[in-house]
Amino acid sequence: MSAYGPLLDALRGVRWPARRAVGNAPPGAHRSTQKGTAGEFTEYRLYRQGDDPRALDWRLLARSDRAFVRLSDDRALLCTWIVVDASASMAFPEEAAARSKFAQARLVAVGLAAIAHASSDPVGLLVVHAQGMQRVPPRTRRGTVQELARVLDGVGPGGSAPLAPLVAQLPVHARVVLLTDCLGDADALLRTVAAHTVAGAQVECVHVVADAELALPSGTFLVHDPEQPRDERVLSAAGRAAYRERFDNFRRDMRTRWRAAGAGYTEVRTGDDAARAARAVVMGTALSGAGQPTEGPKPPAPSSSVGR
Amino acid sequence: MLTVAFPWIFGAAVAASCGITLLHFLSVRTPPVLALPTARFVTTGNARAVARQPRLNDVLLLLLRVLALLCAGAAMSGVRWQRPSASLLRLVVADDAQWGNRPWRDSVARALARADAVVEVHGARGVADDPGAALVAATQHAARAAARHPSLTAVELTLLLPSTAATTQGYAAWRAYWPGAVRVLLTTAPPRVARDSASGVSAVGRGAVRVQGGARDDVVAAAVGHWSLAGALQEVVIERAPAADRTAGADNAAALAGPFVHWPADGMPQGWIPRAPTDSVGALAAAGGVLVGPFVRVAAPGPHLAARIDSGGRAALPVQVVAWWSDGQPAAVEERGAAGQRAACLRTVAVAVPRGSDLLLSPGARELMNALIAPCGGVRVSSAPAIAQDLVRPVAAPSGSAGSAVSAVAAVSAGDNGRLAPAAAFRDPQLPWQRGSDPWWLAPALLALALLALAAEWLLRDREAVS
Repeated sequence: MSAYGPLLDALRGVRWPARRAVGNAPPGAHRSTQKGTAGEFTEYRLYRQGDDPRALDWRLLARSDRAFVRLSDDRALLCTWIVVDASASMAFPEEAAARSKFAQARLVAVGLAAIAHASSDPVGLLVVHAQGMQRVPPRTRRGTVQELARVLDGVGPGGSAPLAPLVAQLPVHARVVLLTDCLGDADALLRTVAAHTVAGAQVECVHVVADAELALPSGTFLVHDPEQPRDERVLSAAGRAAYRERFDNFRRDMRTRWRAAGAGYTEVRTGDDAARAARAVVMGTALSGAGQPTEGPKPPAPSSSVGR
Repeated sequence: MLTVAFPWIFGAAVAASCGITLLHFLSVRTPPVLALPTARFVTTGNARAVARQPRLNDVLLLLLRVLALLCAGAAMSGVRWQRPSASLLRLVVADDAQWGNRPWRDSVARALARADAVVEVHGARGVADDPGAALVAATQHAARAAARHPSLTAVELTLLLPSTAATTQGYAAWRAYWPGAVRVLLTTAPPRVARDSASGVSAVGRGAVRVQGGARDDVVAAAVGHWSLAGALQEVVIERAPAADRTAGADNAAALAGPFVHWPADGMPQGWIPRAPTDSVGALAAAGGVLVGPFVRVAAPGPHLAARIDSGGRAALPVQVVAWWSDGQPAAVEERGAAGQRAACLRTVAVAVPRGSDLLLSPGARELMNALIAPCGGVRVSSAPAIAQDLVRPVAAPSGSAGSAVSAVAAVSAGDNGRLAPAAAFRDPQLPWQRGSDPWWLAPALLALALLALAAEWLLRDREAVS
């Protein structure tokens, strides 16, 4: 956990409220769609047969000779699933594993898990990698964040397993955070997410982009997708502008489509500070420099920007 | 010294090597590989970039490729390791019966010996009957030598032929197949039929044709002059006087080295009888030629002469027909060993030619005249058209010392006597890869070396691709 110490210190005190009222769930910290008898008064409702007589406001009954029931908003837990894409494309750049997309996704995932755990929400983990899938069920007990960090540390990126089938199996009354580069089964994943959000899930997409993908090294290269090695193309100086334009269009398209699906979208670059990135995800704001596809990579800003 | 049998194949290999060398000035390289997850956003294009460079690239690969090409080209083009002295075959073919002694052959081989030549002296049977046998033997020996010595490039042929032969048709036929010049040394051969009467044929040089006993405007004398027959190999006498006066003429021909021809202008020669009734015939054949004309046949061989003709060579005094009528009847004969005969042979001609006729001046008459003045025993070889076009030299017969013949062979071979026959004409027309190398293991060794170079080139290229 020493590697995550500064990150967790930077995120101490950060809470992660639900963006919408939580459905039927055990009592927790988030506003629930259920009305209950909690101490925080919300409204009156005429008494109906079957209501608990203990909820009657006797004083109001005495003054108005009409029976009203005191209602209050219920509080509920929000189960948080953190889904990490550990496909081969997340290992980029390979020569700098500590600054790879998977390393950044791992940091942000641990940070978000810590934030959710601090909100007393159960936190679970789903990692999709070359050997299959690794799942940690949602827990609220102490040491959950450390356990999730150990699982993530033990995974190496590889393969090209799809995310959509696994996301489809997650419960709809939960918060689902997807940390991916959107280079896999993005279309299928978006369809699944759209169905989940309609059903009540709160989905956040953390689009991890490598700085090296934005600022390619100079010279001519024969490039190939690590998940599709046979598709080889020549990247020359003349083709860089077209590449950058296409990549910007892709990122812009992803942002539009994720939001159209009802999910939150945050673009995180490998050069960004992980704590700031986690905070931006929690707050639903865009990182400074991220989300502006026409610009090149920028060094991390000292504070988070606001606005989505 | 390394030579190749098919230079164009080796030239093609050299040209291909030059092409490959030029290609190595062009650098065709695959750019360094970069694993980029967003490669799908890169526009597709040619994955190989070509660039010209002022210096060669991949020199080791180039050397291996050029080595493989040159080795394969040399192996396919029939490479051979030859000594510089084996480029010329000096072939001498002589009559086996006349020049069959081994010391003479050895002396000729020593006289013709040269640093860059292979000398072979052979004898052939039947040359006295037809000189074509010498050409057949020469072709066979040349083919064997060409196969035995792959480095041979030319063949120099010298034939020692007897001056007479029964026919020259074989020589004419085989001469067309000899692909170069032929040196012919004509020897005054002893008579084939009556060898004991060859006392006068050892003379070297030309004799003379003398026509006697005829009128001033004799048609035979005119034909001798017309066909330039005055200079014969031996002295020849043509007697035109009637048979009653021939005995004196024959006596005058004492010690005559050549034939005595009795061709009476009127009547018939001795031994012939009048033909009754007289008939006509349209053609006369002699020495392979045909003379067409309105001949009146007035004589036929007498019984005694006819019996000697029919007995062929088995008779004690054989008679040989020199000319025939078109119906196969003899028109002129040659007798040997007759009583009182002083000449080498006696030829009697029963062909009546009218006075003032130009029949003997027509083209077909040349063979008849040549047959009549030919040395005893056959046709005059030097007058055969196929032989006359070759370089013909007289040479002494092998009586006593053969030194003159040896020196003559050496002298003829020393001069520039025309185009030499190419040795390739005597080799089998094989495809390049069917030709062996010299030594035999040279082509397989070169092919193996080419394969090794190709394997090394492949390994090197594969290693570069992996790195």
